[in-house]
Amino acid sequence: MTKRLALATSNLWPMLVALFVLLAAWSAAKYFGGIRDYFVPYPWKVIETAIRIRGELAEATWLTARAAVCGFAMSTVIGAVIAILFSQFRLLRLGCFPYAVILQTVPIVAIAPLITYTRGPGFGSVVLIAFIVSLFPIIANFTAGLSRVPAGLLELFQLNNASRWQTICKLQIPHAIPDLVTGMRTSAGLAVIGAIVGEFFAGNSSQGHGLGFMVPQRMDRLRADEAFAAVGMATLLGIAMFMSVSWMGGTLLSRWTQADRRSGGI
Amino acid sequence: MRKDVLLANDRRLGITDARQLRLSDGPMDRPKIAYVFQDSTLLPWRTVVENIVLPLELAGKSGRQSYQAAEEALRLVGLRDDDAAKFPRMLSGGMRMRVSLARAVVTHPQVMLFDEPFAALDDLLRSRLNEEILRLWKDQQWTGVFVTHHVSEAIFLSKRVIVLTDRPARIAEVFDIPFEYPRSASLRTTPAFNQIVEKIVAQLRGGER
Repeated sequence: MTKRLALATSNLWPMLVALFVLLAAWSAAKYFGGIRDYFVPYPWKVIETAIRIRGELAEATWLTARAAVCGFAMSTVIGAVIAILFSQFRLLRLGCFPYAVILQTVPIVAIAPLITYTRGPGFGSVVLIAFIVSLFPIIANFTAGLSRVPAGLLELFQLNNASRWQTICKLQIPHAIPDLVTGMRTSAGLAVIGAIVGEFFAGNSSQGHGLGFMVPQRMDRLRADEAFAAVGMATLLGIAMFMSVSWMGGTLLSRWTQADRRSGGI
Repeated sequence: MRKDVLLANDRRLGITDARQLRLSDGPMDRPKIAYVFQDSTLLPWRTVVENIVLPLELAGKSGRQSYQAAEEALRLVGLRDDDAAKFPRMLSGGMRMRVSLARAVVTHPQVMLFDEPFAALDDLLRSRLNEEILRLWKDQQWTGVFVTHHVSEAIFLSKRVIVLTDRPARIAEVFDIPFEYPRSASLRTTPAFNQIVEKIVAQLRGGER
């Protein structure tokens, strides 16, 4: 344990130095370049502001987080169902998978205003945008995992007269769980981006507003410090989402990786 | 017991349906068949005992009784009780093969089909597992069909060795093996054993031409 801690700290300090250098460069550029406070504030000023408006920030972060988590949950469930259908029906896959790819290629910034236009602004539209952005990695990864079961294992199930349902539940899905988790990791980060982009366009509602709405709004009011604080919170939110999904994935995958870890220790 | 079981040399030739087999008491409708492949084909996310119980589970039997049967099978193939909770990747190739054997015998099959099961194992392990197979066979009284390219393995195990030709697979010659069971490893060094090896090897060489 102490060894791991020591390793963690020895890996940590170059990161801290890099951060310090970055902040110093930022401050120096501002000081010597004469950049105005309403464009770019000093780093410590951002932290100060963040503490001052913490209530408002927390509320905005909470709203954005909820939209991101809802969108992510939807894309995980719906994406998983779609992937299972794709893996079972070849024609469906051939017919629809290209469109899933196209859906991925269309920039969300282009779709978001359309959604706002047809659905109106508000939480629902933001969730929908987060959902669309984060859907594809789930479909792609899970479909691949489901349809790449080794032939020997499939044969084993066939020879034991396994039903199609048994083959899906006891072979294909467990085999594809690691791929699903990979997809979910990518998807979690994308859901945060989707929520924030969504809020740019559809973020204002009676329920309050999220981080994505706050950033341009504060820039318009020449409150760069507040906008930067909101950006900082958005970053932290993305990291938090990614880490909690990674952690959950790690727990979920213990059956797949446990053996590796143990034999690695010996 | 008449065991005029004739199989083609590979399960890929379509012997997944047992109606082609005739056993002692005339044609049987659906004898229970179990398979052992060249790869152990274990599910990596399942523990040893969960892998062994799989055929029972797929047949709709997944209670405590099935797990008891699985543990019994585990002991039958020479694994220890504390191996039950291990994952396949923690095991050596030989142990994985034993798990695969246990998974086959857990259903108490009437026919066992072996498709070059030990081809990837070293010689020492291979001959040890050969002895284990004979022991299982004596215990469980199934009919075994064992496909192998290893001549002495074939002779050591079998009552009858059928040499097949290469493409198309036809019966080249049938050798009856006269040695009594139980057979022990020392059989392999007797002159009578080696004589049969030579005869079969000669037959195989002839087939090459």
